[in-house]
Amino acid sequence: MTLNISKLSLTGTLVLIASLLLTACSETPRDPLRLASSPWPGYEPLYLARDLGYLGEDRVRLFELPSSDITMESFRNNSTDLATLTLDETLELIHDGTAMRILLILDISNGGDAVLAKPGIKDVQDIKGKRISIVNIPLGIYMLSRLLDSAGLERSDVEVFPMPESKQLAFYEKGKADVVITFEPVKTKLLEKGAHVIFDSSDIPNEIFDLLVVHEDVYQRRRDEICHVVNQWYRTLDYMQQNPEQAADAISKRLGVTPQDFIEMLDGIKLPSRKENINMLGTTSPGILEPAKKLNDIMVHEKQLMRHVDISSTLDMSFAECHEG
Amino acid sequence: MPRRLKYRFSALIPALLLVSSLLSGIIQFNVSVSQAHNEIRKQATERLQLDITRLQNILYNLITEGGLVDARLNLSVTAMDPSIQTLLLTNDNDIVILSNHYIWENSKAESISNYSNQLAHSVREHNRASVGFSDSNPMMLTGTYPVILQLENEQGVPRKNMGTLYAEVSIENEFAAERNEAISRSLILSAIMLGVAAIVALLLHLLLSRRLSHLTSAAEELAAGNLNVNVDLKGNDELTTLGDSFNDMVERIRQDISRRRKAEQDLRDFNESLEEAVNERTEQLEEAQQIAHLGNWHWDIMTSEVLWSNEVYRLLGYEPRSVTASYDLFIEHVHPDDIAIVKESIQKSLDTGVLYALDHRIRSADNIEKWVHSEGKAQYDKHDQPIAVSGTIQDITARKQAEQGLIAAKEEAENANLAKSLFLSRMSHELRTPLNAILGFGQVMQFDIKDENQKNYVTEILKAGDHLLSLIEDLLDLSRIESGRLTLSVRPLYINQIINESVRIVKPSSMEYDIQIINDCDTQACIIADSTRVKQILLNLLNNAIKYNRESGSIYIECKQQDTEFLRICVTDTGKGIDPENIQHLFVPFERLGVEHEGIDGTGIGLALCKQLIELMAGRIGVESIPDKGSTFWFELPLAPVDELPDSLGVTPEVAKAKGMRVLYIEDNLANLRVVEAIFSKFPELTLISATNGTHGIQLAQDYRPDKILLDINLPDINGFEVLKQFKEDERTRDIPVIAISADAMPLEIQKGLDAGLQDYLTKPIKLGALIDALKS
Repeated sequence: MTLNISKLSLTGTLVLIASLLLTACSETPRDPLRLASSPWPGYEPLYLARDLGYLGEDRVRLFELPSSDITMESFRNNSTDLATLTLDETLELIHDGTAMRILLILDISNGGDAVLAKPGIKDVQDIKGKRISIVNIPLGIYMLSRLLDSAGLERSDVEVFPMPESKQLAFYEKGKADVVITFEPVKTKLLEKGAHVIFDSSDIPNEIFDLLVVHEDVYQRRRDEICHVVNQWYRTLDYMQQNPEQAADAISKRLGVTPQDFIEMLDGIKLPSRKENINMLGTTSPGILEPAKKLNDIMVHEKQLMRHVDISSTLDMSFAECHEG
Repeated sequence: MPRRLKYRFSALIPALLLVSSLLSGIIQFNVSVSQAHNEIRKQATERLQLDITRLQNILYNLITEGGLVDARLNLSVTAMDPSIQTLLLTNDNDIVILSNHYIWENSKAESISNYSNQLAHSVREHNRASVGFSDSNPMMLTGTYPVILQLENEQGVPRKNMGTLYAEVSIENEFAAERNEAISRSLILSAIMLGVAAIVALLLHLLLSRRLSHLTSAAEELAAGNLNVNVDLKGNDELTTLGDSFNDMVERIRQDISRRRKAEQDLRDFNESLEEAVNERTEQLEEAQQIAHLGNWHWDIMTSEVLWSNEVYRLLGYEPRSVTASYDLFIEHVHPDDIAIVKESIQKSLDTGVLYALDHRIRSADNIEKWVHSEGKAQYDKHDQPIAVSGTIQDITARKQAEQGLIAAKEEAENANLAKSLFLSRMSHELRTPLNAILGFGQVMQFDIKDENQKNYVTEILKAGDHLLSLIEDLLDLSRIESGRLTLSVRPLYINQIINESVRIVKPSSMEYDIQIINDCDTQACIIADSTRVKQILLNLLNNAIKYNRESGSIYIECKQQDTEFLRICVTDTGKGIDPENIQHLFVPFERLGVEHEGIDGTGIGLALCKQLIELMAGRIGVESIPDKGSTFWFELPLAPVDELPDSLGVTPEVAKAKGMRVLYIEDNLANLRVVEAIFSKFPELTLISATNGTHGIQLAQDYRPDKILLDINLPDINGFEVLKQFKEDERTRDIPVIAISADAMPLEIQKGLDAGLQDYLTKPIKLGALIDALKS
């Protein structure tokens, strides 16, 4: 009789295993990872990755937002899983209590962020009393602060109009601003309209970082897909290196500039390699901590942040060199 | 077998439960998936309606104010829903103004997605939205909504026109999630059912299977022969009753079995006694076979199985049952010379179904050659196919040896007799050749010698020679008969003609003894016989009648037609008769009944020869004798049928004078040639040309065209008949009469020669008279 019981349980087990296998085979196709981004040359490789089919629409969905402030908001209110953010935005979000991880340093601005002035304003000294349009994200304040520092002026010396970068061109064109603190591709478009650069991020190297961030919960749950995004990022950088013209053609269209413009834009940013990323985010003393602290100080000084934020716990190295499961 | 039932209870029923639970799981799954699908479609449609309507309003307000930038922001934010694949704002020319993909802006909407210009136009015209699931993809919801746009033209003047808001929403992920949930639910349900199945199995095991198992093992024990098995089941249900019934059954079986055992014992006893009887009979048969040296065998053709009785083994030199009996083994022991006939006999029996029987030799395993008598007969199935052969084999060596002895003795005797005949034949032939010369030259001398005394001597020599010749002729005939080499030329002939001729021949001799011959035979009857031989018999009887007659006695010849078949010819003398006890020895060769002392010459073979010849011609010969009165010798020959009478009466034609005749004699024997030369020298009117071989003879014949040709048959180069043939074929020699002369006077050959165109045929030694007669004719 023991034989019968064991036979029975064996049958049952087999049925269970078969059912489990069945489930495994038809595993829930998850919603794709949501990634929100806005126009900026340093973010463009993500779109290129999508258009090349590297990312895969069913795995990562890119939301094309018109301006960086919306991106930040969408990340803050969980409308997206990943977002491309500037370091200052990141600091603010962490400060405000958004649990997140920094996955990648997408680029370091080296001229891509700039202060443009209408003709007649020769240098930074001339901005006193002028109307200045700034992007309505912490970066705008930061750049203004650095501009004022270099000019030796006070905040009260200028009239400031914060707005999304998408509105800056029209604002300038209508003559509502004398100076525009912005970044690419608005910078190029302003140059076309006769504005000229009086100050840019190459004057303050290694201060403006653009990052890829992810919500903490997503980071915990969807590591495979995150790894996928990171790997495809580097893959796309390789593609751009090997096919600069095709890449420029594809990207410039989206930014509304000429391919040549885009190639020039690339001079204004630095795209860190995998190794540089590791150095900045990993090791015993990650390279990003120092600029982050400096930015943090300024932001506290500007009253943008109430206190210092320690970002070391959000730095992630596990995806710098990961393998998709 | 007993285990099956247990399975049925403990496993099959739970298994059925399990299967049904799985089935219900699957059904439940399908139902919930189908419900979820409908629900999702409904929800997605509602959500899209809500989203787009809101966007519609926002866009209307924004674009009216000319704020494309804010419109884009709103559209982008609205598109921050992964299920929204495509979101387009198009103008009245279906050009994309805003899109969730910036890159699509300013391009034709139709080229981007499933956007339909026609549908968009209709939507704009009727100012009514169109929402629905795509025909090609049921997971794709598309919506096309009218939007009022107030766009600035190039001059910056706002212009109002109708645009379209187009969205594509995929519900695939939602649906997949719902389906997975349904799978989980079904699995849980199945797991619960599995648990229930397990519990049912356990209960069945405790309530039914275990007790059934008791019953089963009891039944197994019973089957194994244990009659003391007893089932004790607890409870009060059908199984308990079954257990009690089982116990009752066991008790009954127990009684049954003891009864059957007794019956079986009785049967065994009976069988044993039967077996004993059979064994006894078998032994008797075995003994009988051994005594008779007779074995029997059976060959099953279908199985090739062969059964031998013990005696067959012994015949073949084996210990009984020491080897495997087989057809091939038997054939192996058959004497090599007999294998073919044995096989053939068996095959013939198989083919025809006839019993075969033959004597043949075998060589036994201990290498002794034996004669056996084999008999066998095939058996057939209903389709006439042989299925078996059975038969006997008997050792007949002893009988065979005796037979062999007899045959050998007979053969020996026959051989000796044959040797004697051959010897006689040779001797007589050899004797005749010198006699030829003696008689030939003797005859020639008669012409030359004038002195009376010398003439008498020659006459005596010739007489003795003639006697010797006839003796030799008789001997030759007898030996030919005995060796079976004598051939007769039997045909219808008139007997009185032969009698007349014979009487004429013996006339001189009878006159010498002053004996009168009275021929009372004037029949015109025709008999079937060889004329030469009949004459020989008649002459023999007549000569005897003369020799053994009294002084001045008489001989009386008469013919009597016995019946329709035979004619009897009687020759009666007036001699002193023959003793009855001697009559039986009369026809035995070389028996002369003591007359050899009475001064009458004879060989003692005459009558024996007559008897043989008569019998050869299907006749009979006999004698009746009254002592001191005389004897009557008779013989009977078959009468010829009336329609077979010969045409000619065979009257000898008038003898013509042979004047100025040229004769060619072809003869290789010089003695013979000289005899004929000597004869011819006495007749000046005859010219003799001679050749010693056939070729020369033919040549001479063609050159000289002789009037007659004498031809020896046994020529050194060409056979006499061949020479004759060539004469007949050649125009020059065709009409020349040819007379053959040969020592081998075989009647068949003579006839053959006569048929080929011979005028006459003379035998050696040449009788002068006969030769002259032949030449004159």
